[in-house]
Amino acid sequence: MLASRVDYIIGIHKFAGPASYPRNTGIFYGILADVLLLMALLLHKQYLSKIGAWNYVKTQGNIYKNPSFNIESKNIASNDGDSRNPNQRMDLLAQQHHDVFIYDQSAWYEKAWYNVKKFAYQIANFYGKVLPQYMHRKQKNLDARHRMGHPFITHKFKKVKPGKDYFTPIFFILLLVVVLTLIYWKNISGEDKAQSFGAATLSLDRFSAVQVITLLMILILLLLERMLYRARYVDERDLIGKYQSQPDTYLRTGARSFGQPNAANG
Amino acid sequence: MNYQIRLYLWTNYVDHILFMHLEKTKDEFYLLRKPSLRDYGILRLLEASLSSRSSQLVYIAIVFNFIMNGNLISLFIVVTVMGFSILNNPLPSSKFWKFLMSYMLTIISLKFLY
Repeated sequence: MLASRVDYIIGIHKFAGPASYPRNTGIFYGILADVLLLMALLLHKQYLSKIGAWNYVKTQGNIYKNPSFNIESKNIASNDGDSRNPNQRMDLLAQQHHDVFIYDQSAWYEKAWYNVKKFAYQIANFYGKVLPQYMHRKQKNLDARHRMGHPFITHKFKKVKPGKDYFTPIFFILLLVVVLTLIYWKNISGEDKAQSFGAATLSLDRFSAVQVITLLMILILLLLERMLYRARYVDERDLIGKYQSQPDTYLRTGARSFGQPNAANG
Repeated sequence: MNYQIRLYLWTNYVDHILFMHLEKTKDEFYLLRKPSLRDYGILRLLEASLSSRSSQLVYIAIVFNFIMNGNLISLFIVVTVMGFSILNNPLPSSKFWKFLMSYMLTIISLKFLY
């Protein structure tokens, strides 16, 4: 009954009178949690303004523009074209060329399409933020196919997965969840098996469909965690290192085999 | 006992940057004063430790709010926080907190009016 009431689904409903549920709780208990949240927010605002983060800290949309991640050049004064590596310089030139000669002179629909593409790219890149970024640039190459030629790779969020393996804690927590789901299913879901199977078949040792689906999802979660840890995204551009400086060992062992001799030698 | 509690709060909970301030010396200069434990009482330290952990308190309050009123309005806050705010590095901007505050104020006044 309550699940079909639109005002309870949205959340703005009566706190007193015949339409209220539970009956006549009153406005105080009705909005208590909201007021507590607002108070916590105000406390947080006071803290942020005391330490100066409210007014004086501006975060960048792109995390690589934040000073703590600006690994290529720690010194802001020399943060110009000269301090970049050849690949970065070429990127910068291409970007400037695009801004001045192509974007400005293109028609409105081309500009719109360019902005749409840029927006989609930003959204796609957003999920890179989920992965940890405080890693050393030089990482061991976990990919067995290229490990002999390139023992180390430079860090990029797509390429290097979280270093620490949390398989054991994750496995045991999920095992606990599985056990709880098997034993205390009725307490978790409130599902009455006798009712759902019909009173005639009181076979309480059977699992219900929802329970099986839940167990399956837990197993899928376990497998997915392993897969995400093992599977790594490597493409040709990563080995060339579009936005990164490469260790000298890499240049000496030869980028020629990966099809871009000029970029590596220049 | 009092000292033990104060020391525990000071080493584990209090953000020392809250007590940083400039102090006037004899030569009319202002020097940055490094905070020390002996200058602050237990209540002051309790207040400071509460406010140092305010971001965690906010997240707890958001989850508590969602437990108390499980509806679309509080779901929106939870989704915003999980999908945006805790992913922001190093901290969510003040714009986000301003937005959340005005959202909460609007919701409270709407609930009050309805």
